[in-house]
Amino acid sequence: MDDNAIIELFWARDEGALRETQSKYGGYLYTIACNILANNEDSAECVNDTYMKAWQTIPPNRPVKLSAYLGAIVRNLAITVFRRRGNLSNGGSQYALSLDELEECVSGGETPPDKAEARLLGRCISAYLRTLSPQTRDIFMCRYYFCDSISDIAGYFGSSETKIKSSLFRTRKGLKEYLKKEGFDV
Amino acid sequence: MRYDSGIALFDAVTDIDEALIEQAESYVFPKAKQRLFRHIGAAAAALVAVAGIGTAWALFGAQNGGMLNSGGYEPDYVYPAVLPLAALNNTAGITTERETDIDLGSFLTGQPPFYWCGEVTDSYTLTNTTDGDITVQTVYPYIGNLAGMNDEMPAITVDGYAVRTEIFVGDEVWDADIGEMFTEEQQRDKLTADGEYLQKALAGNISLDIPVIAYRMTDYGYSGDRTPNDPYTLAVRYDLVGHNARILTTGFDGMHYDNDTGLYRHSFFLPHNEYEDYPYPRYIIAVSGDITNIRIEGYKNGGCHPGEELGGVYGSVERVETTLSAIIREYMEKTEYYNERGYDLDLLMSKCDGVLRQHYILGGDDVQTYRAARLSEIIGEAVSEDHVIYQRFDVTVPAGGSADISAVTRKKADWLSGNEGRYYAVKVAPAYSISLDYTSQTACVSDLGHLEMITPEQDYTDRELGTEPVSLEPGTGNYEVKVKPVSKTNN
Repeated sequence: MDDNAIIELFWARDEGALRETQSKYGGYLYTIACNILANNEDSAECVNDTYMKAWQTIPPNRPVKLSAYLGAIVRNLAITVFRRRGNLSNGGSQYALSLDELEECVSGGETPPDKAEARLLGRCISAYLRTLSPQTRDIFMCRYYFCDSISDIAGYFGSSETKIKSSLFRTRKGLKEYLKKEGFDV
Repeated sequence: MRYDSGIALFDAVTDIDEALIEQAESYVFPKAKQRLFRHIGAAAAALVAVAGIGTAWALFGAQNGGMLNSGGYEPDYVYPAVLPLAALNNTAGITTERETDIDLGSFLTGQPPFYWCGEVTDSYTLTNTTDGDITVQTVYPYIGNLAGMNDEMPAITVDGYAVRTEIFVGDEVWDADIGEMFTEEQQRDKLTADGEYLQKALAGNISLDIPVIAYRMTDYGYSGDRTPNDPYTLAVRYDLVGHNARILTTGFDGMHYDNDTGLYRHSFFLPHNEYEDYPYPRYIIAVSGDITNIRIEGYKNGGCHPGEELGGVYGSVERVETTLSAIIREYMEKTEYYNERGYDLDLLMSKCDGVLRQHYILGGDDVQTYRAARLSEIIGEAVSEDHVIYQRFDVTVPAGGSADISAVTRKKADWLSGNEGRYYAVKVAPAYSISLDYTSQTACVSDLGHLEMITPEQDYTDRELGTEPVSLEPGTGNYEVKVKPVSKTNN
């Protein structure tokens, strides 16, 4: 079923919306959650919470791209669970590893940004990513949005892990310069 | 807290444009498709209870979705624009006219990146409006890599005569830099003597005369009988002296990180005879820090798994105090690939510095403590990463006279695809009058060959070139010609 039809089910408060969402995106959402949490039970719970949140927020929202909408929800939920667990060790979580990598882009501030600032930062990152070649951009997204492992990403692109790491390094460095140029205090 | 500094950035990634997420989904989704969602049965029942939904449902694997849905054109391969001539010294009294000609008559189609776009002739007339001769210290730049230098470097002539140029290579440039070479900021940085990037390029090669401790494998082999194709493997493990060591290896094919010990195991297939062995030494090099308690292990194959140990594998290790440059030079000189390609080894070694820093083998003392990398991969990256490469030469323009400079390049074309098929594009970056006073700049296509020009439905730049000269104005973008093979129905 295409996304528009699923969204119409949500708007019609038809329970089939959840069944169709789970059928189409269940594995996708689980992948994102598991990359962050590295734990089956927690990941399943996050995906379950994602369905609930989708039910609660559609309507009034009418997502343009359902996969991205759901992906953002499960990503945020999984990150919250991860932080609540207080598990600062790797434990197989790609989120922890990729967070370490992104630390290079920022010096660390005393005050975390508010939601508006975070959205602005997100738009700025999008603008930077658009200056990159599609492959470089996709490698960045696979690592820092989907939290895929380096070895998985290397497999996607038929490349060595070394080349993937280099690509990410260069992108992080470019991002840091771009953010500075745009006035962000990094 | 340890993660504070990256958290804001990581969270902001959630708000990235959905279109960018959608494009990357196509890599993640196939993997997701294979997961059976075994664990949600109980959670689904809980959802029914909590959300007040009376329907239970069975579990299915994820179906494919979220595939790239491209409208307009998306670039598959993107190459740099033709960059303008620049000068390092004061050129007051010199005016510059530029004409760029794109000859697509010999355009060769095929799968990128192995095709060429024909010839781009970037011509300049420098006119001296004073009553004294002026020597202009010129640099002609292009973006490329060391691997392609022999084929891609523009051929420079002055007044019709070939000139010998001095080559300088800047730091690595990335997509964002390459894409923005039409901006004044980028041209000031990379095309003027005051620019940080160009200054660093002109400073010359970086030395890697860094003292290192190298452990050289000697007298290695297998004492038993062998079959011609057995993959018997010698593996080396070690302990660290202290906590900080940066390791580089040569001749060790395998490199496996052990999660339990937090250290690498390096290994190589035992050659069956001396003729099979590598022509260069096998080293484990402690670039910083040191290793100790080196242990030689034998395995039946390169997996080096427990239970597959192999007795009779022997080897010795010789400790050598040397320099990183000596090790790299020895490796390069004994590797036919580099000798055959004729690389300037000092230049190549200098570019290894940047790659070594990317992998934290050099620098990064405040970030990482233990890292390892293979020298072959470091060098492989160094030859393939992009740089602004400069050809430096002097041109004396007589009083009241002029000098003609020409740079001829075989230029690769961008390759873009979309709903209406594929097209190719060649870009030209307009010059800002920073180091040279540009009084006119034009570009045109002199020969289309078997191509036709198109205007794509989704035109991402309004700066199109054609068969008539177009005046180039510096500003918001590069100029480009977009072409595709003539459709058969038109023949």
